[in-house]
Amino acid sequence: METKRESESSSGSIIVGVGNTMMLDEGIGVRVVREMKKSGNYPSGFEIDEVGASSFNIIHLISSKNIAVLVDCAYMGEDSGVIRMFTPKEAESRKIRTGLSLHEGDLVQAVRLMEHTGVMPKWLYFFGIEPVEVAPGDRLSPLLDEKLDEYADFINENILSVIKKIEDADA
Amino acid sequence: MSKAVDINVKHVTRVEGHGNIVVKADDGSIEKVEWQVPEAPRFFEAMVRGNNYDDIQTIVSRICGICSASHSLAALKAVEDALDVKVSEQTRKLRILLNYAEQIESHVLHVGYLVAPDLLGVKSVVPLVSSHPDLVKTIIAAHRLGNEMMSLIGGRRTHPVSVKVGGFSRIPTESQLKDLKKKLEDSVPKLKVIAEAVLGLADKLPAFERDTEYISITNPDHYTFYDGDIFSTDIDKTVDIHDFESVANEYVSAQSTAKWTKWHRDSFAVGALARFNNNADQLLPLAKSIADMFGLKKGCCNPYFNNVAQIVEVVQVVEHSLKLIGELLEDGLDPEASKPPKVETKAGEGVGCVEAPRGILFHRYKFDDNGICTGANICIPTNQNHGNIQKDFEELVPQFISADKTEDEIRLGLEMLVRAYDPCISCSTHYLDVEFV
Repeated sequence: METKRESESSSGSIIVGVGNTMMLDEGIGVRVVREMKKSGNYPSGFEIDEVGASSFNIIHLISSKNIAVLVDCAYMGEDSGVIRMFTPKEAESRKIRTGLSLHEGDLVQAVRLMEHTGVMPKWLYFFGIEPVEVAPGDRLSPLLDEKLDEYADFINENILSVIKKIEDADA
Repeated sequence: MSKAVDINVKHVTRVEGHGNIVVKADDGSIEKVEWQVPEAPRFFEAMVRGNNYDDIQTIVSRICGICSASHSLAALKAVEDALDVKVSEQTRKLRILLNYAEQIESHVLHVGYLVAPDLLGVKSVVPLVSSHPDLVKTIIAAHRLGNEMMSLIGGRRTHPVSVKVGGFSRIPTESQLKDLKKKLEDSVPKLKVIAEAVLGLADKLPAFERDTEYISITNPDHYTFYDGDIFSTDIDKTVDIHDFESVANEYVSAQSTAKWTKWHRDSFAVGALARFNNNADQLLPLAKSIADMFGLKKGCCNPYFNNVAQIVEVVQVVEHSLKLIGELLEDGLDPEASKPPKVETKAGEGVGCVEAPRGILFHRYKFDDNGICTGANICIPTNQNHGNIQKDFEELVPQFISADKTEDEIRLGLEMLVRAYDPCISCSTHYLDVEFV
């Protein structure tokens, strides 16, 4: 998805793992990117970073990037362990917020904010992974833990495919 | 009002901690007015037991993703108090800067993200981008500055890693501090933009006042967030932080899983307005001019003005940060002066206290001869405000009903009140919950 920017030109590309590693599968995004970083299983020229649950911190990380990839735990109605790639246009947040405190992060809303303020990455993709369980705990469920390499491969392959499409379009 | 009011604002996301607003009234007669806190216990006080003294900060910083620096600093100060570890003046100043980074991040985000939409009559910050694009961009830029400052001093954007018992594992370079100073200087006009925008909407803040006890730390030398004694608007002398339990007087409330507190009255308030009411005479010139701009004066008992006090404090901490950075650069940064010392463990007990964005924060730890934690007591500001929110509700709801407000107006007024206190509701999960379209 390409978004017209008002002021800043896009620069660099980044893969960001999002989540809380102290809440079991909620931390899958962070665990996956750590695995990718450790093994070097990610496209060259990409930064790898991780962030907790603060939507605003995510905005600061990915604003105006050329390609930004967010890896996160996602309730998508899929079987546990399933990974899907999607763009912001393909998803609507179902979260209900009270607005009573700053602790109600919503990545989809953060993306809308970037769109409206003209700092969207030129290309933005989500990789959502359906959790088995989100509850206090500093590890992953066995199902997701076993699939870390598989997730890394899936993300890497899909990003390479995206890069090829972009290059072909630019050619 | 000859109609029924039935308000039940329930926080329905699967986030661990939350608050509910319940109002039931019929024909002008109020049956129930409650601020309920069904927040799950998180057992941090138990988690730290059995851990080494130098692991405490890492663990308790995870209590909160917004106040992680405050928890880190309160914990370190408590550990140092117990083990007789002294820190250098350079370390003290860098820690204050870390606390200020958090104040900037938190206050800017709260005023911009939660309060501004209320004042402009929209549901969230997103619609504001169309109507007030420059304001939203300014808010994001100011928040980003706090974020960068946190990362520079604390070694990470959230949950600082460079702060250690007795010092820092890594301190910024002089060129990094100069760069930060320049960014802080450049932020001043942006902060004025935010202040002026809120000033233009200040008439939307409800004109509600309730005589309240305000508690914060105070220090004769400066408007303090980092070091001082406990002070209250109800007393004329300070109380040592080691006696914080006699101030907080935590008790269990049937409508809350979080403990509530009271001191001289049934409840008290902490946070930006409490600090302002106790320390306003010490504001630096620019911050004082912002307070004057709003007509904010010591003795203000309108809880909605906590948001205004937060704006004043953002300017205050930027102003003081510039002063501190200037002093650090003038003295020359010395990594050795902040090098964590070798600690001799011994049995002991210590207390640490800082002002988190939401108010006064206390940590107490006990250690055995080997420096292993044997007990902890953590008293957070949001818990200290719960009772006061309830008391405000009890006075505010009858006023709303007498004024013949609609159910929606009452709900909004009460939600705005809760938001004004900027409660630090647990941020343990955030997950995406999406529907494909």
